[in-house]
Amino acid sequence: MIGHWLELRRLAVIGSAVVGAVLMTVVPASAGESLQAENAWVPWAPPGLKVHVAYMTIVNRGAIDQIIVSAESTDYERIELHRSVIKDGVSAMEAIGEVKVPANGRVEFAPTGLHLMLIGPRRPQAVDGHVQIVLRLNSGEEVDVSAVIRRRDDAGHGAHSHH
Amino acid sequence: MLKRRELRVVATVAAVVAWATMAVARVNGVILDSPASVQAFTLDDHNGKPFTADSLKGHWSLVLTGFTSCPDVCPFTLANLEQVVAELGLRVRPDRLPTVIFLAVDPDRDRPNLKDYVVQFHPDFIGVTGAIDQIDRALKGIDAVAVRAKPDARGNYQVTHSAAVAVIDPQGRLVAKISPPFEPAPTAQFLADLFHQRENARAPGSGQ
Repeated sequence: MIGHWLELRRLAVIGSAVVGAVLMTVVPASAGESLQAENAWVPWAPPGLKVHVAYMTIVNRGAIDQIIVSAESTDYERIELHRSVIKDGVSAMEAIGEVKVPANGRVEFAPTGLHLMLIGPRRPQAVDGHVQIVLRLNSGEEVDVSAVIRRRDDAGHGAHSHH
Repeated sequence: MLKRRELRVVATVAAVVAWATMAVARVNGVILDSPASVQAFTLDDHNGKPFTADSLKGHWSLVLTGFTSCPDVCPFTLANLEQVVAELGLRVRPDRLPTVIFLAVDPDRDRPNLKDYVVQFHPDFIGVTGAIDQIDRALKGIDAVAVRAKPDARGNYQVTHSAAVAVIDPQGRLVAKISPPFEPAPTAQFLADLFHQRENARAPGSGQ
């Protein structure tokens, strides 16, 4: 009986040591950025168009909610957080002040929903090029995002994904 | 014993009904009780050639409303319509394939970019725009609306517009409307069935 209990205790000690080691390696690595952007992309648009768009998945692996309050890019005059809404058969876009990314959660910026509206391109777009975007959080933190420029019909990112 | 089997049948039927409802729900299509003529309008296509209500005759058309400063919903719809037409190509004869027409409702900003904006989705897509009063006539003809908001301090303004796509028959009449989401395969099937039904309805008179 006692031997069993000791065994359990030893396991617990080893267990917490392992957890501690994992925390020590994981926490400093993610402390730099509270949020990560995944699959960030900008649909290629023909030259002359003054308004582009960026889509991405924002992942919060942390234990506290994060709030995106603005975004900017040296490639554009300005960026607005937008949401497309269809109400009573009418399609509209509304600017939104902030986007909350819940703890251990994610938010999708995807076609016909939340998106980053990129206004006033400063240089021509090239397919496979990148747009560097900075997301600002209400904590003052900045999150760097590199979004690849793709054609809309590229597999997995177009209007319709093939299975 | 019998009861259990009955239950199983009921469950199966319920599952089939649920599945069928889900499958049908993927197309938000409405067919008008009777076709509605599109009133006369005069616009220009993206090559600067006149485009009138008569330009809708002789072929099926899918007409969507939008503007070129729309980076999200309008390109999404155009990309979906390109896929719808591709899917339709598997279901109907080439001469029944619809022409996709983008009615651009923000002419000052749309004119310079209209062709580039539209043909990036398919070289056969046609962008049309023109004077506001003529745009409004065309909108009315396809039972759509567009509202241009007042410009902000920077001179930017938003445009809200109908999300539906109008289906125009070869007589130039509004016969159906499709609303989002425009899932390619079910939308193509909806259109193929509609085209087939209309061609059959005309068949008795087509022998003359």
